[in-house]
Amino acid sequence: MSVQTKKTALVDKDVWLALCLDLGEQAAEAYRFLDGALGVIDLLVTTTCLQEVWSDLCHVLRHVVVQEGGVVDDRVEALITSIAWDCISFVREVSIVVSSGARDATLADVLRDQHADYSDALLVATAQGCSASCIVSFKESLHECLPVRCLTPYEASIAFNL
Amino acid sequence: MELDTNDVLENRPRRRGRPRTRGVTTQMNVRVDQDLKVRGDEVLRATGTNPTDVISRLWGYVVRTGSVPDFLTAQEIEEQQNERERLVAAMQEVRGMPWRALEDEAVLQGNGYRPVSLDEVRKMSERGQAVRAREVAQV
Repeated sequence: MSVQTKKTALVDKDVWLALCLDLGEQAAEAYRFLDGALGVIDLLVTTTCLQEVWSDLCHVLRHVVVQEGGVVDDRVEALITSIAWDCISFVREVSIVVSSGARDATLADVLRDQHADYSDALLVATAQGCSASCIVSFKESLHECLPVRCLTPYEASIAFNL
Repeated sequence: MELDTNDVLENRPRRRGRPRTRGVTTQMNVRVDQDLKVRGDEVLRATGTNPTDVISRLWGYVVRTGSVPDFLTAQEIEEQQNERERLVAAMQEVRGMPWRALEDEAVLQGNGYRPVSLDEVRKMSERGQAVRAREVAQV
């Protein structure tokens, strides 16, 4: 019999986005949590989350370039995707990638009454499937969720004594 | 004359002042951080063991192997610290990196508008998707 003792936290995409895009107070909160967690608890990230971080980064950067009067030509597009790849490499380096399987998809379906957003339900189902101690996210809609508790990075720092 | 070693060992005089200790237990008092103790005890309980068992096994390991486990050696501790420092440095590097990279390539100006919250990022992501969709449609 093995007993899982090391704490694990499934970190949602918005924590990574806040850090990479340096989003004011949210970036500071994400940074404090990750700084305390590195080497102390296992950080988990789903493959779906990585894909969402990548595409959100690309979309936001394209939008800002256009906003500043720039043009997203081939050169800029290549630069933007390269930046997003580098961010993904960082996330993979500091965390353990877990994937959502068929059982998670089934459980997500069961959770549809609790979560209007399918990606939320799948995240919770995956967290339960990989026995994560909690989900760390800024997303308020997740914070009422069961069966896995969801904490903000600030709350997680306190809960894990980081 | 050849010495029979068994004979010698059998008839050797017993050293005084060194009591037989096998089977006799003794108590150890150690001082650790209170919070660390509480958290450690919690883990030991969860794994079905206790401090006495862990200490006995550690001492057994040290006697049996003549060394301390890897995680107690200075080299191992140093490696863990180095790895943590490397990851923290990577985290500092990635924070705000997208903006610096675009500015370095003169795609953005340093004083331009940047999102400051996840709500803005969500809206921007949606608009960014629209930008992409328009470009694809033009192609």
